[in-house]
Amino acid sequence: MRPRSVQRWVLALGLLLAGSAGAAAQLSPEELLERMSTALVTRSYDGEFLRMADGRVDRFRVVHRREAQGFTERVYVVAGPGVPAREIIRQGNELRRYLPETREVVVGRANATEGALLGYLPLFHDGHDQPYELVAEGRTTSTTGRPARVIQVRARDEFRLGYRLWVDETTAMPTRTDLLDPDGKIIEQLVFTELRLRSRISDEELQPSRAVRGYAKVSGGAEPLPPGVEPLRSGWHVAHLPPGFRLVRRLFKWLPGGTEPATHLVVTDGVATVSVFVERPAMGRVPRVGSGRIGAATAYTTVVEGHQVTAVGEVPSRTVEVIARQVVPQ
Amino acid sequence: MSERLHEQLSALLDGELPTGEAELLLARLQRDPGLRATLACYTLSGDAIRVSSLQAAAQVEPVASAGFAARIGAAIEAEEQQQASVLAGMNVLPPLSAEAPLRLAVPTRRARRGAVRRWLQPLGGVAVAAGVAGLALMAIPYGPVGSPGGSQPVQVAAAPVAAPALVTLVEPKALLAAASGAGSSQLLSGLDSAGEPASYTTPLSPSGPAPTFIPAAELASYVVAHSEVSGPLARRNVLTGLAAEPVPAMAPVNPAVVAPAVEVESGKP
Repeated sequence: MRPRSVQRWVLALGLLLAGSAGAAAQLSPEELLERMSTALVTRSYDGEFLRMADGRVDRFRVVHRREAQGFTERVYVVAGPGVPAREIIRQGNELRRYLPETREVVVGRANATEGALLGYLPLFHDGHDQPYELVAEGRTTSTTGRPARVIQVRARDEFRLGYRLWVDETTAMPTRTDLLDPDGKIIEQLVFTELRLRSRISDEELQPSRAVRGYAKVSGGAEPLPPGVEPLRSGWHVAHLPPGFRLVRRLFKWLPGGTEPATHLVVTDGVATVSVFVERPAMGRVPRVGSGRIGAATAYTTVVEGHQVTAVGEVPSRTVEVIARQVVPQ
Repeated sequence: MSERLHEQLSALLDGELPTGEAELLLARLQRDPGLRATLACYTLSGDAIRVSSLQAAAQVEPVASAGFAARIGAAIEAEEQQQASVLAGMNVLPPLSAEAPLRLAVPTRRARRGAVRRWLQPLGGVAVAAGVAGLALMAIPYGPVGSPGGSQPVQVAAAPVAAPALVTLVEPKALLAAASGAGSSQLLSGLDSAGEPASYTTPLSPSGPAPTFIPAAELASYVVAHSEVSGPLARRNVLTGLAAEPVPAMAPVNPAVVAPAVEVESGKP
């Protein structure tokens, strides 16, 4: 290659780099969030964050490795050397929860048929007919000490939660996530104090900490269908969904205590997802109507034509209630 | 808490704390529950506790009780003696700001005292009722997961089963709606006709069906199953919520009376 040609290449590369660095500040909120969604599923990273919710602060560490088939992720509470703390490891279709309080590891598996299903990539669309409004709230320095753009994903009605996201200008990774109720009040914050993109993450880093190794394994479902058992009929659907939500998938899912797979309907508005589980009541299990919440996930369970119907999702509690109560057999 | 610590917390959230100092602060956070409570309080409420948002919050937040507010006031007064953990012990958040500021400056003591005084004003009627209901729920002692009766519908006031989930995890406004059959049907019919949200402040009906709580272990299973289909952003919230869930007090489990889902969680495949 001639020197002049090399010069041109260097110049072109320089322009390209300058262009991409400047572009992050120029991107529309929609483009930036699209870039963030891609980064979340294509990057390998590790980091540390604080979770603030329900009047408590927990310090977490995450190790996330992108793999040819999905990802492996380890999330755990930082509790000091040698101190056992809760840990969650997701590897392929398996999710293991290490629970020091019972010295157990609860293993859950997705159905083999779900295969590469690894969650839905959020689709952030702006526009008056969309359930969310995207608002650029300027630039700032994030808690990781790097320039970030702040985007609010504002829920347009009371059926969904909003977000305020601090998106790293260079990596497009979210370094801080505030979860907002429909009134815009913060209900949960995940604040990264450290976040590193990694090109290589060893298997050892994805192993559970020594303090929780050797816990007794407990099955959390997903056993093969026993011979002779007819699967539950799949003709369940949601008669009326809240505005913006649509049914995108029907699956079967083994739940703990079930004698057969439950019907699993997946409902989404593009950002939030709600799962609806329909189970034929098992022997000795009392049908119930009730609600619950774990962190950002709310649940509502009710009985429809003798079946236990449970809706779970990262949405306001009334949304899961409305959806569960609208489930009908076809 | 010293002004220095205030500044450090503020700088941490603004991303302006030098790495070395941040490490020390995080280490201190790890071993000091009082500091964690204070930080949770500051970061969620910011310095923008305004009367308007307080009034809005008083309509729906389960925090309205003169006695409770007085305890918060006392906690703030006694902050130098590290008594902020009073808040943590109560598992209750202060009213949140509707317009959370981008720059979460830690409020001055004077501003916070003023905020508490202003916060006391809009209490009344439904808000107080909701507050009392909320506090009553928080007073329920932690109980064993999967204790006898785990699969039975239970009364709120006598619900030891899902207490860990209940204490911090169930919104009292949802309870109020669920406790009133009329309120729930009103909510749905309101939706069907106009698509408009119905009121959350449904009065508690003494004759309505008793609300039930999904037992914690069973709820966790549903949430885990759901996490497989939730998006990568929301999944982080969902999974860390599971890991941060308060640890229930353990008690001997009688397998004969435990619901199947709980048995699986307790060791039977």
